[in-house]
Amino acid sequence: MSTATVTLTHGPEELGEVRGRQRLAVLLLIAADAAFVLSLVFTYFYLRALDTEGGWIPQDGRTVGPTAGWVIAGVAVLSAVAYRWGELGIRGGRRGRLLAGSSAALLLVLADAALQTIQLGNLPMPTTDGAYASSFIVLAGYHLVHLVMTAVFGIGICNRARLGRFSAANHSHVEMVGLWWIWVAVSALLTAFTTSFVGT
Amino acid sequence: MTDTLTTAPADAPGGPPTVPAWKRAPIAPILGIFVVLCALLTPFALFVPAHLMGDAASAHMRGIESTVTAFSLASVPVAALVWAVTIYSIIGWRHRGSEPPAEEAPPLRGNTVVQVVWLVLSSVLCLFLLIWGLAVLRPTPSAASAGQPLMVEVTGQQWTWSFGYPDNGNATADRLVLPVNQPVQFRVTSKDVIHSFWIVQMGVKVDANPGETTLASVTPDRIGTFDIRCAELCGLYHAYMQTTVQVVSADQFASWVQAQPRATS
Amino acid sequence: MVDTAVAETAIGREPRRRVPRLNVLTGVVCGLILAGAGWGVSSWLLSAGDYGADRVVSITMVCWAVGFLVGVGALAGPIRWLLGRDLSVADEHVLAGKDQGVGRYFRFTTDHKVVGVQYLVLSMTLFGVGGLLAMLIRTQLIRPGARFVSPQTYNTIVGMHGIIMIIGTIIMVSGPFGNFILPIMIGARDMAFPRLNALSFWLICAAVPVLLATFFFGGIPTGWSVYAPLSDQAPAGMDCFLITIIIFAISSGIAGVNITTTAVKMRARGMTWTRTPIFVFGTVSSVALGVIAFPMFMAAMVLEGLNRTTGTVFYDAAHGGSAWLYAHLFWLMGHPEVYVILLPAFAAVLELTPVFARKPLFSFLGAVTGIAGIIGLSMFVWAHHMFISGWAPALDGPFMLTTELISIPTGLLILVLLGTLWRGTVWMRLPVMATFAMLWNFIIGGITGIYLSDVPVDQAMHGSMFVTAHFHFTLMGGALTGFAGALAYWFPKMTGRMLDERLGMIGFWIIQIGFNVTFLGMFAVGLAGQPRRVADYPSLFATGNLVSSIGAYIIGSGALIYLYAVVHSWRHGRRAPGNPWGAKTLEWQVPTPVPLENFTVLPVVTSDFYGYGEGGSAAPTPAPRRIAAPVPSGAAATTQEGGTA
Repeated sequence: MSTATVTLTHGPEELGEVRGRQRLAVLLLIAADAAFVLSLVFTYFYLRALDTEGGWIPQDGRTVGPTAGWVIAGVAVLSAVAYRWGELGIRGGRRGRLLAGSSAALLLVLADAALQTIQLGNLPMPTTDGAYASSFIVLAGYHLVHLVMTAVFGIGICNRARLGRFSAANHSHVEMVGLWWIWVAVSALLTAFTTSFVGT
Repeated sequence: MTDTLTTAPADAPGGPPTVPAWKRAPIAPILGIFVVLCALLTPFALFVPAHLMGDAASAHMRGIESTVTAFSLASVPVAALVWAVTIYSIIGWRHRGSEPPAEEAPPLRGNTVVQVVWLVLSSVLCLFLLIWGLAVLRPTPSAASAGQPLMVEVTGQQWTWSFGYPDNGNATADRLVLPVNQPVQFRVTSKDVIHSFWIVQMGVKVDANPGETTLASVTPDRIGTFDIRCAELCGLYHAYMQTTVQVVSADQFASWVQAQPRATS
Repeated sequence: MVDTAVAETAIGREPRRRVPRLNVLTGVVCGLILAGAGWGVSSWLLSAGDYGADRVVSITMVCWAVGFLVGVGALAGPIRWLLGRDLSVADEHVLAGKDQGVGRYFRFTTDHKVVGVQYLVLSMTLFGVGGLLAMLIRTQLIRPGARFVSPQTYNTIVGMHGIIMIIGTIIMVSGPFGNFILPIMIGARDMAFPRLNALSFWLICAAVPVLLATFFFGGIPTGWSVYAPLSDQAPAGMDCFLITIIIFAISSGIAGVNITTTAVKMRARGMTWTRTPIFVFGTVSSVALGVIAFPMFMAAMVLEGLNRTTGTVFYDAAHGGSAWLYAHLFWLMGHPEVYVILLPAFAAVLELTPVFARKPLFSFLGAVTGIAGIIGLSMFVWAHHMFISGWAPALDGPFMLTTELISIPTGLLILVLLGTLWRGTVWMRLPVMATFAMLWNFIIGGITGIYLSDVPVDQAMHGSMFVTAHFHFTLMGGALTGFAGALAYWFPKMTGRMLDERLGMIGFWIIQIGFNVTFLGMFAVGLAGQPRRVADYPSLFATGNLVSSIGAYIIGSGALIYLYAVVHSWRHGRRAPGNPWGAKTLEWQVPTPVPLENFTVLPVVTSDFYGYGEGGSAAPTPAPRRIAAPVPSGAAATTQEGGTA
């Protein structure tokens, strides 16, 4: 196999086409991530329903209340809203609003990550006792992973917004990260909902 | 997706309209191969699987063996049909050469009748399998009708089985002895990893899960010694996690179980 | 992910230094350095306690993978995106391996044709290793009481054979042909996301050494299904296994997203769904199914990894966990995965059969329906692997039904193959041999699968050699045979040379004969009651096992011949013309070797690709009529398209 040099006979690909591809790909990636999250949710409810040998709740009965989970999910939702506000701004060509919205969203995500870390660092139950503890930790921990990933994307978007890379006509990356951001908020709500069911 | 493909213009008779398509096809030789294959496969299906599975020691296992035989027989015409066409296509339709052959074959793009018949036949076969399977699965309540089943506790641990008889003063044993013609219910569990309790000749198999008790029941109806094997990979000596079950007369069983040590709990 | 406007802004800054090209060597060096650092730090900080060894091994392996990817240059694109310094069009061409000779095969090259060849070599390497392990297994089992290897080693070999072959077969068709052939087949210049494409390949390359490291950390005693809680007891080799699967799941997820997007969004103008080749349907449905299925496998592995490194209790019944949870997560992936393996290979055979029968595909709609039916049902059959686990005996009936229903769409695919052969002019070349062998093997595999779907029969057969023989008949006799045919079919396009027909035929049929001997023998001992995955067996099963082992050696020698044919033809084979088979799909209409941009002028499709015998009896011309230059108004194309576009 040799390398043939062919002159490009096609121009830059159409923006709309590229955006359509990116959108489908991001939705598929979200579907894959959703399969992972739903596996963890399934784990939670399955072990709770089985309650093998009464071992769901830790032996001393201490559990995490549902409130903190909803607060953490609430912050995630707020950050998604802030991001969306910025995204709608760039749709009208307002770069400043995109920068403000995505920066606020990024800060909220970092705050949420801090909250989640504090919660995981101060669990009332030992990690090695009870399927409840294990199932809770993995759900909350994966939310933390989500937040870290979102923060990386957010840094990229903020930086590129700062550099003025987006315009009303061309901001598909903002939209793609926005889809992910919404999914992270949905997944946080799902986690909060799931971990609200504590006792059997 | 539209239907246009199956009714493509190619479907219209290309040759003289008087001869239907199937008459031009080499039906006779394919039928011949089909018949020969059926003649070869039918005795195979009738005798070989059941023979390999050995003599059954319970009605349940006999049901399984007849199921295998019935399914084999039902699949003989299916396999024979597919293979007959395959074999004929190798012999009768082959073309040799280094250049692509001319495109002279009839461009068939589907045939509604054939497809519908094929689908209906496979659905009917499927239904047959399901009904047969459910029918064989069902008649386990013989245990209920024949009075109280003998309870046997089976515990797997790496890499041995142990047995308990709670109905007989908590007798314990490291081998399994059962009275003939008496319904038995096994309560199976494990101390460490997943094992699978398998009495080969009785068609009994159920996983031994740690922390769970699973049930299986059978009525052994033949006196003799049969094999118990572990059917779930359970670590180093999985291959050697096997023992035997002895089926004896009711009297022999009673005296044997009397002589066993009692659980100390 | 080329952002067009970004590319335009970058052009303004040229000329700039070309992107530096790292290669596999820098990857290995960087991986080893980071692994060493990870090992040092983790053994200093974390090695104490119950979970110390597992933590150290896990961290070291993750460090290796990350270091390897950094060193091979996989993260350059994302980092530059973060910094806002995107790659220019010229950079992208360099990354695509333009004018770089053989070296581009050892680099993070984004050209889909390079990735396809890389995948091909990787999957054949995996088959080599997995096949060698199979030979060891059959040598151990050649007679009862054999002590060729210890039970510990034997269990590891069985598990490693399983997982290596599973990974190899998952990537064997959608990797090489899905990457090399599929974009050309649909008239695209590359995959939708070339960098993700390369990433999916190099992720597997990062995972393979981790998998092989399993041997040096005590092995795995569990088989490839790594059932918990046995996996909790396993030595540190299990950590390597878990990390491998996690990396592989990420890789196949990325590859699945990429191939699906490419096929859905980048088909040539006029290529409506009814004109899309069936191979595209098979591959896309397979990888899209994998996108949903593999995260569940990954979840099962992550939970197990947490059990082993942090003391969570997901599968530990003594603390409220459940072994059934693992089985559910595993088989929720495990059964769809079977079709992930099978469908692309089956679709490749459906693709090549019309070419050699010189007839249209018999009922394109039937084939698509069959594939869709299999995909749809495959998500609802997982519990047939758990009939005897006791988790819910009441659900045995429904799962028996869904499992048996799968025989209907599968039967439809068989009918399509038979109908395509029917009254054809079957050109007896090497690729079409796969059609015949598959029709033979797959009928056996399918029928024995129906036995196993029946709950009472499964009570006798589950966990026995019968199951082993059954799934080898479907995955090896069906899928791997399809791969052998697909390789022979697309070899001229991928390598520019013809596969040696004589040696190939000899090797192929020796493999088929050996295969049938091996696994018919295994059916016999399975029916007689030999459990699977045993290192030893009673003398009752001696004859069947001897037959199986002899058959395995026959397979081994046939595979060596086929491999020799492939390697030899690749280097010294006869030069292939652009379209040696007279096929009509688009990949055969571009020159061989395929130019970097595939098409100088993108094709417009005006009919489907199976019109054999419908345009008179003329042999296909090198530049068939169906490919027209792009019509500015699109009027010529749309007259035949109707409203379907």
